[in-house]
Amino acid sequence: MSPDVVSAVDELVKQGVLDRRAAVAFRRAASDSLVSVRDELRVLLWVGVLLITTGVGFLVQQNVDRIGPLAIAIGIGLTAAACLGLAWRRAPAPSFVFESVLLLGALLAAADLAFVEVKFTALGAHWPWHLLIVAAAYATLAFRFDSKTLFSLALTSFAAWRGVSIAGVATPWGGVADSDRLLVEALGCGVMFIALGKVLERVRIKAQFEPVAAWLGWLLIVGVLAMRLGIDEGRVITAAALVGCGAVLAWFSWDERSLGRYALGIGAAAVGIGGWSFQLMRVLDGGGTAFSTVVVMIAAVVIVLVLRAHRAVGGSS
Amino acid sequence: MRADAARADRAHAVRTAADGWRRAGAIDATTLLAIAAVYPDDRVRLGLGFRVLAGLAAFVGAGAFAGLLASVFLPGATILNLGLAVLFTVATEVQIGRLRRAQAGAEYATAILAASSAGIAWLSISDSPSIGLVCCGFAMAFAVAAWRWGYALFAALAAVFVLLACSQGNLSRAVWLVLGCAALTLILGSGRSPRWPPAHRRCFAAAGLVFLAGAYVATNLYSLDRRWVEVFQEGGVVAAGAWARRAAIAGTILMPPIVLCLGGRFRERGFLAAGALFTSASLVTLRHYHPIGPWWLSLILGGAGCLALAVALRRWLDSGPGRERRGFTAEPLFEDRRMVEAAQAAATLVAMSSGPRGAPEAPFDGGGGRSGGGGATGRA
Repeated sequence: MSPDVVSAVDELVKQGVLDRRAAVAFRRAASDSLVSVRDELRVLLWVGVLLITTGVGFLVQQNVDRIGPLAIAIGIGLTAAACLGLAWRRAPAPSFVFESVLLLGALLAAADLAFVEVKFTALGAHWPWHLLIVAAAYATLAFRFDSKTLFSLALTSFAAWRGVSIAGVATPWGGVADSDRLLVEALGCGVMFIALGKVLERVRIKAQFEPVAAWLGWLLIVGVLAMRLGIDEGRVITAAALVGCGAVLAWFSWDERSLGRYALGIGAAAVGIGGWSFQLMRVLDGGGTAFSTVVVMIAAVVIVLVLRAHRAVGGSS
Repeated sequence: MRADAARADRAHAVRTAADGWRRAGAIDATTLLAIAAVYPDDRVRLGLGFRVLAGLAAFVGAGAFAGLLASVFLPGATILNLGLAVLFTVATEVQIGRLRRAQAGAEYATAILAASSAGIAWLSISDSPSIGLVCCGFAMAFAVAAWRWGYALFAALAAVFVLLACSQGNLSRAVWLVLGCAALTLILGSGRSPRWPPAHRRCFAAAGLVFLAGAYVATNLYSLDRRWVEVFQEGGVVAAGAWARRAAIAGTILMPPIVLCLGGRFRERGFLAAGALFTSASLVTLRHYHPIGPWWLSLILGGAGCLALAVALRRWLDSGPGRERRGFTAEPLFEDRRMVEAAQAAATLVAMSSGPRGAPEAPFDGGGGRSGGGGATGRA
């Protein structure tokens, strides 16, 4: 309820700024005489999907011997097929109920595939490939039903597939130290996601997926580099990479007026400079006081940059 | 709260509503500009990305500055924390006052540090402080900060510390229940009063919801049996009596529908959300004492129930005259839903993504090295 908006609506009608008929709806919404529970229903559906998929996970874990793997696989598969069939029949229907049914069907299908792989070892030693199949299936559904949620799940499943491949044996990075394989894979995935987003935007096929791909890609790159800063060996190079990535991200995001990504770029560069400073203090034996001074200065520069950027875009961020 | 900040806050509420009207296509750009002219907002408000970055930078920078001061001047803990509280309070006041910042992140960070430093200074004054005394100090610090700067999180934290302070003594549960009743006044009275600026109304609502949650915890049977409220009490804690358990059973059953009914009656979203949470907590409590089938069945049934309820509610609302019933609708009104959708997408990614799993252990079983024969088992 917003009493200020209620009185403002009355005042604006008096001044002739607002149309009297439109003002009725505004007044009702502001005085809570009409409340939209759309978000609450969305959350309820989402919780329902989460509970069912978790329950199915427990069902599989606890009853595989009693019910039998074939019956479980068929049961989950049929439920997933029913959800996806319902979604297919109703498409295109961009309602949140439709989205929930689609998400439930996709998640159950993925769980079924994982279960089949574990129990029947259909792919044998190449079992991590089932994650790639899941990613492809999510992507297909995302493109078919125009679902950003499924598209982001497709990208994270792809990244998970690369993560598993490192843990397994099928890694092509022979010359890279074991501890850095995850870094290289994550960087590769990040670059691929960003490139994919750009391609989608250029060819104008599902261009609305570009922010999802770009955000996930940059978060992966920046996140994995920031984590790598915790390792002493090669910290200067990692910090340099973080500063470089942050600068590139900030530069291009500024051109595109994508202010959220610009902020991520500035933040990444600041963390990278912090990593440099930390290493420098260690080498020079500068101690905590000098490092604190540097951190204060970096923070001040970041705040100034943010405020200047805000002013440059006319305060409309 | 400063008069100019309160005025800007009220104008911002109107402008935010007008943005929603514009997004819904109910007004044109000219009308939006006219409204902005009538309700000018002179505050510096950053977008979410900038706000988070500026807030983090200010928090880390100010924290490092505090460390720097401590290492250079080496004062006692009380003096240092009092000095920091004053310093960060001045920094927040300057930002909100002279620099006219309202949602710029940095002023929020210094406000958090000011309230925390004041609380820690209070803690360091006493040699052997009791939990009640410490919580009183923090509650006071955060309540004053919420009052002065209008941050709802501070009000919620102050309410949490009030509850913790009241958890001492034999009547702690009764006090939590009384505070829960006071929450109704806070949410429905002060939280809706035009006397207060929107920021203070949000503070009242946040504190009220925390007190309401406290009242539910005080009535919940599981919490009574586990003595959750009495966990910080000094000295021995006696087990709950039979009458207390009966009252708790009644409270566990009755409180969720009462809160939901209040939400429906007063069309208060806070009550609806709290009622839904209490309902799920009561169902979990019921399942704990009376296990009905295995967990997977409860989860699947609960999930199916949520889906069915959401679809049924949506249909019921849509079938009403004007797609509304009793003042509720499932149609979008004029609110900005981008944040909700982004949060939901992020939650889906976090909760439902396939995680990288370690490679399965090689099923190596050479079988060598065992001894046998002569009745030996091969085990040491």
